[in-house]
Amino acid sequence: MKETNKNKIQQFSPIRLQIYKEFWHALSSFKLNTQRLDDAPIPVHAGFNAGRAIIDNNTGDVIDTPASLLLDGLGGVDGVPLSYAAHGHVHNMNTIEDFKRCDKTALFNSTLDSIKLAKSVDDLIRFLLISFSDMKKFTFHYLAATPAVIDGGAPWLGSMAGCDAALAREIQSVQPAGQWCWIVRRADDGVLSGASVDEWEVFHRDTHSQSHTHNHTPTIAFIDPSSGHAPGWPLRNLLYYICTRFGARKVDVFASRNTHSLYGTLTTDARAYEQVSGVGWEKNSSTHKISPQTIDLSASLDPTKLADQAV
Amino acid sequence: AVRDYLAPVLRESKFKEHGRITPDEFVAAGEFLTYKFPTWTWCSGDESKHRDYLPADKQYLITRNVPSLRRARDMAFTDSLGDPDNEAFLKFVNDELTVGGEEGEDDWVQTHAGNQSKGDVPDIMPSISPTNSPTIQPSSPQKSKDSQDIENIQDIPDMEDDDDFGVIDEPDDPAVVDTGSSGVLKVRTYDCIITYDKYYQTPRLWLQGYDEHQKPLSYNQILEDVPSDHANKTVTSEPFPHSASNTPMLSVHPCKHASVMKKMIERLDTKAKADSPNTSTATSKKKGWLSSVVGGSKKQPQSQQLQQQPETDSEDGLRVDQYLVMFLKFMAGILTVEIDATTSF
Repeated sequence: MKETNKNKIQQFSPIRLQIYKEFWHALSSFKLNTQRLDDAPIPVHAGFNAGRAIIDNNTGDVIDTPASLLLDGLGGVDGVPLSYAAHGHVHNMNTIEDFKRCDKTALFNSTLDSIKLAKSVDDLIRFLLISFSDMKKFTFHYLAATPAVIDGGAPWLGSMAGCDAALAREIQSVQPAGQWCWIVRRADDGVLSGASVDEWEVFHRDTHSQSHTHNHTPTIAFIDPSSGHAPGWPLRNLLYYICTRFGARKVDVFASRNTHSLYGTLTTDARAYEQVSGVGWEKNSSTHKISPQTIDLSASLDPTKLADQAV
Repeated sequence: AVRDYLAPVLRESKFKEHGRITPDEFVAAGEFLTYKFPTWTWCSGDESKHRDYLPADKQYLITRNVPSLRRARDMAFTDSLGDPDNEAFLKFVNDELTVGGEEGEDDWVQTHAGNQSKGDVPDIMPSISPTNSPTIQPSSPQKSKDSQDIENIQDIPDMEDDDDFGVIDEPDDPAVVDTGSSGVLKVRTYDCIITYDKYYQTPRLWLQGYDEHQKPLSYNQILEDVPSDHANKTVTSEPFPHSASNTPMLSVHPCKHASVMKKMIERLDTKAKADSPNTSTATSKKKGWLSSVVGGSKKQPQSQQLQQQPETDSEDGLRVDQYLVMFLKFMAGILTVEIDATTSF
C-alpha cells in the first residue's frame, strides 16, 4: 500500500435510475392486466448515454448534468438515441408490507453476484428496482440500486484529468460499433486500433508479439455517462472484470463523453478483490439516506384529475 | 380527435404558400433534423396509435433530457424588444389576444377566455394585466397551486419513519463521489417531442418535464418555464396522441404555427432573393436574420447548418427539409427550455 502516498484513491460518480412516467404507466397496466398477483421479477432494460456538460448561454458557465440510466418502459428503451443497454429486474410487490419487509440485501446481493459472474462486458451494468404500486392513489414507492463491486482493502488508485481533444477523437473513432467499452492499442507504426474488451487476451497477445514490450500498460475506454471531474460508475465493474478475469493491475483509462472526456492511469494492489463487497443503493433525493422514494402520478393517471384538466 | 380523424391528409405541398407541410415533408424534415442533431430520434410510439400516413417507425421525434437552467420569470425577455425582426412573432401574439373571449372553433380560444385586453402596456409587447386574468398570473396563484401539490405529496405516509422498513447497510466506500459536493448542479430537464398534427398540417411540440431529482414535474411547475404570455393559451395540456393511456402532456398549440412559419419562410426567401447575386452574402444575411428572430439570446448552431448547405437553392431560400430546424427556432422563442442545447453534440 505504499502507493497510497503517491496516488489518491480514484473516485467514481454514482449513477441514478431515471424512471420516466411511461415506465410507471407500463408497469401499472402490466400489473393490472397481465401479472396480477404474481410478483415474479420482471426483466427490464435501461439505457445510458455518454455524459455531456452543458454551457449556460447566459453566463457561459459549464454545468455538469447528473449521470442516469434511462428507464422508459417495460419493453426496452424507445426514443433514447445512441444509448447502451443496462439490464435489470423490477421486483414489484403486491402489498406495502411486502415492500417494506422483503429482503432487500438479498436482492442486492443476487444482482451483485450476476455482475461478479459476468461472462461478458454486457452483463456488467445491472440495476435493481424494488417497487410497490399503490393503484388507488396512483403513487409508486421504490428503491433502486446500481451495484458496483468494490474491494475495501485494495481500492483503485490514480487520478484522471481532462483528455486532449485530438486523442479523444482518435480513441472514439476506434470504438467497435455498439460496445460501451473497448480496448485500445497503438501499433508500432502509430496507428490506433480498438477491439471489444472480451477480446482482451487475443488482442494483447498480438500486441506483445508485435512490440516485444511485455510491461506495456493496456488502455481501456468506456462510454461515461457522468460529466464531472470523476469517471462514472460503469468503470468500477469494468475494472473489476478486467482485474479478476485478465489480471490487469494497471490500466490507462479513457472516459469517453460528448464533452470533457477524461484520461488517466489507474493502479490497484496485487491483492485486489480479496475483500469483495458491493455498493450502489440509490439515496433518497431529499433525505440523502438509503430509503424509499415516492412518486405521485395521480396528475396523469387519476381519471378524476384527468377529467378536471380536460378542456 | 374526431376532427383530427376526419381531416384529409395533406397531399400537395403547401409549404411555401401556407407554411404547412405534408406528412412526407415532415418525415423529410425529421430526417434532416436527426441527421444533423443526433439527440433527436424517431419514435414509433404505441402501435394502436399509429398514424398510417407516417412510416411505422417514424411516428414522432423525441429528444431527451434537455436542460432548463432557469425559470421563465427569471429570464429577461426584453433584450429583443427593439428588434424589428421580432415583429412577426409578436404580432402573432397580438392576433391571438385580439380574439379575446370569443368562442371560436379552436381549442386555444377557450383556454384563455379569462383575458380581455392587451392591458396598458405599449402594443409591441402585449401583456395581460393581473387583475383581468387570475388564471395565468405567473407568480402568486401559481405558487399557491404548487404548494397544494406539495401538500398532496406530504399526504403520502413517509416510509422512512416506519420501523418495520428495515435498515439497509452499505459498506463504507471512500471511492464514491459525494454528489452533494461534486458540483453537479441539479437542473430541470425536459423531453421534447415533435409530432405531426394532421389537422393543422404542421409539426407540434410537446413537453414532459422532470425536476432536479428527475421526478416528473406537475403541470403548474412546467408552466414556470413558459412565459406568462403563453401559459394556458398557446401552451396547453392535452392527451398525447401516441400514448396508449392518453397521458396528458403540455403542448404548444399549433393553431398559429402555419402562419408564423409562413412569415419566417417569406422573410428568408425575400432575403435570399434580394441577395441572390452574391450567394456568400446571402448566407450571412440568413444567419443574421435567424439570430434576430429568436431574440439573439441563444447560440445559433442551426444557422451554421444553413450556411453549410450547397448554395444551388439559394433562390428558393428555405428548403422543406430545414423546416423543423426553423420550427425549433420558433419554439425556442416561446419556451425557456434550451432547445438549442441539444445541438452541443
